[in-house]
Amino acid sequence: MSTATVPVRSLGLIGAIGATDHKSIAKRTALVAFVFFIGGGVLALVIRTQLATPNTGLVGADAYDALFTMHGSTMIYLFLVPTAIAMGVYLVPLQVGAAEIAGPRLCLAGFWLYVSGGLVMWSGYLTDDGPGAAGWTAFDPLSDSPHSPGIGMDFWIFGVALATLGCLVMACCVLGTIVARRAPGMTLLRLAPFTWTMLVTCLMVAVAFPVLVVAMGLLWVQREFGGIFDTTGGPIAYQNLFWFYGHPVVYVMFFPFVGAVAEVVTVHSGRRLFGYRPFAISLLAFTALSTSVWAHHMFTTGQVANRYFALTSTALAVPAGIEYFDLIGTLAGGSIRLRTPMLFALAFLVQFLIGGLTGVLLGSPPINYDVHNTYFVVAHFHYALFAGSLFGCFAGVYHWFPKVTGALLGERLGKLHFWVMTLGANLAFFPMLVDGWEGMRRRIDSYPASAGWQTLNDLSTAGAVVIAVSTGIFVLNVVRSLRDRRPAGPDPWGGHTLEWATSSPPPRHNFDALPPVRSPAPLLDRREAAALAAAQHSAAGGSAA
Amino acid sequence: MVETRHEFRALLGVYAPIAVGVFLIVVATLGFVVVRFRHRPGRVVSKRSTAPRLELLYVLVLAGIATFLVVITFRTESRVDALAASPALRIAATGSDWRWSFYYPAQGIDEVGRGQGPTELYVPADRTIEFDLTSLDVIHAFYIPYEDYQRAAIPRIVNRFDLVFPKPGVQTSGYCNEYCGIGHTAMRFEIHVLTPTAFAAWVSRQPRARTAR
Repeated sequence: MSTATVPVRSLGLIGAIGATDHKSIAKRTALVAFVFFIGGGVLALVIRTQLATPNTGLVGADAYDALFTMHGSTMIYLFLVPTAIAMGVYLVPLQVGAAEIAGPRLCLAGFWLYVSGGLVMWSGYLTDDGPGAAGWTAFDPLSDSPHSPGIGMDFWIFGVALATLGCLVMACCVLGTIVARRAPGMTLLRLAPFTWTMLVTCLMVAVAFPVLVVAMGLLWVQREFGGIFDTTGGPIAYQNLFWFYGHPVVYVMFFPFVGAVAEVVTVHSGRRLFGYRPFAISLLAFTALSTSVWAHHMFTTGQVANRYFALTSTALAVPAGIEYFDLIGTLAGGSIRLRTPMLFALAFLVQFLIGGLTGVLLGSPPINYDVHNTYFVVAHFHYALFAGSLFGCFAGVYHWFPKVTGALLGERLGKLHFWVMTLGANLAFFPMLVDGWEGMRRRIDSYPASAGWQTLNDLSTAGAVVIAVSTGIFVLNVVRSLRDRRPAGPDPWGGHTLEWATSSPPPRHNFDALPPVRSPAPLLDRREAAALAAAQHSAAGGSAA
Repeated sequence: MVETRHEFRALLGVYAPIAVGVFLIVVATLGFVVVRFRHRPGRVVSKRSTAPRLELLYVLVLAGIATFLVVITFRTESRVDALAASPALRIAATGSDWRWSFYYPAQGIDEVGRGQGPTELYVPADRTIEFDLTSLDVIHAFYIPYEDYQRAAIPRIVNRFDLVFPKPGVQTSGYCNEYCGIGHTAMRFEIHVLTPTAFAAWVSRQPRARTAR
């Protein structure tokens, strides 16, 4: 094809501030999120050093409280959520065959809201009293002015509100793209699996995130003027508002990576997604349930309908089971290539299962009465979010890095990264299941030597160091790959979906031409049609001879 | 008389084997699939992309397991959450930054702790004790690992629950288990489980609070 190519000049600083190309916004979001990931990871290393011995006393109680508050807040509000949304901002317009995201300038505004939220939250470290230290949940009354008087707490509230608003805005642009910017032939039941997961993610964001923004506003009014939560039942009202956001957000940090795993599993086994329709239905069921399970975080308050929330929470096992069935069903009958993305995808399936099954236990109130707020819960959500979501995220990163940069990541360093990270994650988080079971409470800055938890905590600390090493290997891999620039070509894996139909990286307008869309895997259709035509041609040629 | 320890362990005895079993089945299936369908030159990829009947059957099995778990959870929770009409003893437990106090209304005893040490909680063994739990400031939680039980202490709200301490002679710790600020780690109380006679003797030795609350 001979399209007149207009050379696109690099816009330099102005481009870094104001470029509205969705690919550029997504790359900047992911880069900023990765910086926050490193920041949150450093906090985790300090936490793990403090807990390595019974009474280390590396930091005081107030500094320790700020550490776990900022670690959790950074990883959730500033790393996993924005990373999940950024993946959608980059890939969804490509996967639906659009030239541009819906509302590009709005999307850019979302990015800057997120960045300013992160900066405001972390600038608490520059104040005399330190940053917010009321936990990532900031329960009232602990977070009100008598109990958290520092300005750092206000910075935390504004930071959370801004970052969450930014992610909400970006997610709305992704949702608008899916609704209104699909290429001809791209019906809802032909969306790529990843786009399906982004669709339900954005629906959850649209329902849940405004509630947190409002809750943060109310918390600030409570701190300044009072009269909001200082009533009978006020602290419970705050928790209801918070968890109405706080549970759907777990799935916001999870489904895009399930989608990434689904893409990796299909492409790297050369097979269409098995059970596409049940997969889509299970995502919708999950989304519907996601807004009905929030109070399983509140079983021990005695102020919620425990049975209802135990019922809905246990019911989640059904759609989750469908997703496992479909992903393993895709692998069965395929031709599985154990490249780095596939390794991360397989580890995701195994490790997330530990997070999911411990979640079924926690969803039973009489069991929850024992292990609530212990390290068992800490292990549960780190298995879900680190050993699950983040492994799914890396599956996607190794899968799409060649599309985004035009260069392949190194396989050998990738596999080393995978094995070291797997070792680190399990070394860090499995011992927490055990010491939590033995009654070690979360958010404590020391524990008595007589408790006998030192060995388990030492293993966790060693695991944290191993994770840090694995992250270093990943950074090395990225730097070497960008220096050596091993060209990836438009489609290094034999992709199925539209993003592989354009160059790597894609041009500003994404596509010069689109293949016809007749299934969720248009590129696989095209290859199969070509193979069929070639076979017919040779058969015809053979009979003629 | 409902022992939380016993109820917790019985329920776990059902949940834990199911969870471990599901984990092993999934991992074994996944492992088999990955080995069996590893890429080989010339391997033909299956074109089958759906198995509705098998999947429906699987969903029914999953829903059956989930229903079973919900039913036994409901049954256990009914017993654990039930309040005895006439408990042998009532104790008003109150959390505040960062210590515990225990008031025995019928006996007029007020345990508020001395000095820096933890507050002591004396209870008779093998009796149903009702706790009326609240907080004076932020949210705390009354957590006794030995009893496999905890409840949130919330300002302006009283949470009531029954506990039974099965064995006399036990000395164990209770903790605050809702993060409540810089004193959270050390917010502990010490529990002494006495025989009913020893408990009566302890009661008679205590000074009466001047004004009943």
